[in-house]
This record gives sequence, structure tokens and C-alpha cells, in this order.
Amino acid sequence: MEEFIKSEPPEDEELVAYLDGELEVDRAREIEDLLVRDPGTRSRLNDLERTWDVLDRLPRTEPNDVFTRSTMELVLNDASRGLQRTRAARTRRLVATAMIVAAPIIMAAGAFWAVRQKQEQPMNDLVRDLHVIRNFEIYSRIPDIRFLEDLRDSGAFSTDDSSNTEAPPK
Amino acid sequence: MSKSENPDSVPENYELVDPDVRLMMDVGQGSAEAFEQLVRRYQRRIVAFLCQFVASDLAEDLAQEVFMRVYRARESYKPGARFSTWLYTIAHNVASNANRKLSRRKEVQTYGQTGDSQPIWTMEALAQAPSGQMPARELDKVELSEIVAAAMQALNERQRMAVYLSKFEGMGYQEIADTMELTTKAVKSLLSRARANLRDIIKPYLDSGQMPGTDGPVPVANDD
Repeated sequence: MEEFIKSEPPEDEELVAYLDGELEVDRAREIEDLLVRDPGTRSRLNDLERTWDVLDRLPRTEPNDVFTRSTMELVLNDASRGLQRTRAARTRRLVATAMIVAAPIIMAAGAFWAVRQKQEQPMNDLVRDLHVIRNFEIYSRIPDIRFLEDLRDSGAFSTDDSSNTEAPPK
Repeated sequence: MSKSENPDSVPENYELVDPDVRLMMDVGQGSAEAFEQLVRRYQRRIVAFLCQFVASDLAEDLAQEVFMRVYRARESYKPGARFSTWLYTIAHNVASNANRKLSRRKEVQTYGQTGDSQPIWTMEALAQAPSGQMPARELDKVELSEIVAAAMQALNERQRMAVYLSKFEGMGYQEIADTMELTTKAVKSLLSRARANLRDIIKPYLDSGQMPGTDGPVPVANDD
């Protein structure tokens, strides 16, 4: 009888692994031999197996009937919000990109306009003073501003007489 | 009964062997139908699983969060394991986070104190439960269910999860290890201690009808 029980009595860990089919083949055979011959090991295995089997009695909670629908709604709403966030982010990115692209163009245009203005300034001055330039000879005969004031005060250019509204002879 | 481990096994192409992985890939391509199919297929199991860690009214909310996370991960999903392994990893994380938050707020609802929807599952409550008002056989069934539930609750969270995945999801040690991010050796040890604890709590009742907690303190699993 003693020769049957050659191997060490298995620990719980080995018995559990044996029950779960997770033990190495050689050790599993040893335990099977032991189970045939050793009532103590058989009893321990039986206890582990019995208590494992009664776990089938564990109360199982079922989700309610609308679980699938409410989950789908929740998830799709979340996805929709995510899509909106993505779109908003994409719009922000587009605006930022447009601004980055547009900024140098606007700056270049502004610089061009400023240079152009600077270049055209003498010409503009000439255009503005064209009337004076054309009549420079007439104006140069007038000694000073006092003379013009005297003329105004004498009524020579009075608006009462329509004939006086005409431009002074050149 | 036994099976040999093959450490040199080639990684599986999960897309070929697991139809749920294929469904998840379809979800990644934008298929809402595939996602709904996955929800229908797993909702009961996930809710039942979460009920082992939180009160049942919270379990449904958390199950929805699990599916939400699955959906959000659809585009980055890479099948590196069976779909269920990945799903239970998420569920475990969600349950752990919820429990951490609850314990931080000191609002952990222990079974037996949860009010209307939760069965009375504490060992103390079971030991004090009145008997004799139901037919003996019915009472036995109810008692046994409650004792099993109480025995599960007496396990620590990791043991409970390992037991659940092994018993109700039929996962092998490697899959449990993947799900719980442990080694197979750790899982082996975890399951062994869990089953020994279950035996110590349930066996007296099976042998002699003795309620847990009526003869000395109820064995409570230590942290691993």
C-alpha cells in the first residue's frame, strides 16, 4: 500500500489547477493515481468540486428590457457630440490655417499699398496744387494776402450781383 | 482533465478565430448594427459581472459606461486578444474605478444595507435570517443561493473576479491573466485561495446545514 503513495500530497493549488485542467500532464497523472488510492485527497478534491459546482446557484442580475436601446442612444448621442466637437475643432483649424495663410498676404498687400502711396505722394501733391500751378502767374501778381482781403472788403466779389460771381478776369 | 501549456504558441489571429473581434472591427468601420449586436450579446454577462463588485442599480450604469468606452475605442481598437478578454478588462477597470470613488466618498453600500433592490447577502444577516416560514426545500434553495452570494462577497475583489471569469466566463488561466494583467502563476494562486475560501464558507452548510458565521467568525479573504 505504501508504494502507491509515492508522490507528495497535492496542495490545494494543485488540486484546483487539476480541476481546472491547467496542470502539467505528468503531475496530473500523479494526482489521478493518488486520487484512486488516497481517500483523503479524494475527499479534498470532492469538497473543492462541490463548492465550485454550487456557484451555479449564484443569483444573476438581468439588465432591464430597455438596456440595449438606452445604451445605443447614450452611445450614439455621445458619438454625435463627439462628431460636433470634431467638426468645431476642424472649423477652428480651418480658420486658423486661413488666418495663417492670409496674414502674410494681407501684410504684403499693406506694405505694397504703403510703398505705392509713398511713391505717388509727390504726384498727388502736384495734382492737388494743379489749380495754383496753372494760375501761378496771376497769383504771383498779388503782392500779399492783405490785398485780397481789401478786395473782399471793397465788395468787388459781392454775391449780391450775379455778374460779380464770375471769376475775375485772368 | 489535464492540458499542457504551450509557451511557444504562435499568437493567434483573433480576427479569424473570434467572431466578436470581427464585429468590433466592423464597429471601427462605423457599423452601429455591429455595435448593437455586441451590446446584445454581452449586456447580461457584463451586468452580472459588475453586480459582483457594485450594487445592482449601479451595475447597469457602469455596464453602459463599459460599452461607451468600447465604442469610443473603436477606431484605435487592435485585436490583441479575444474580444471578451478585452471587454472584461475594461469592465474590471470601470468597476475598480467606481469602487475607489465610492470608498473615497465613504458611501460604499455593503450588501444587506442597499435597500430595496439588493438581496441580503451579509454573513451576519444570513445567520440571523428567520427560517420556518417557507417550505423546507424552497428555503434550502433560497438559503443556498444567498450563502453562495455571501461566500462570493467574502472573497476579496481580485479573487472574486478570477472566480467569476473562470466559473462563468469559462476563461483559462492565461485569459484570466490577460484580463487581470497578472501572470498565470498569480492567477493559479489566486484561484486556489479563492476556492479554498469558498470551500471553507460553503462546505459547513452543504455538510450539516450550518449557516456561515454561526460557529465562529466568518472567514474573510485576505488581500493578495
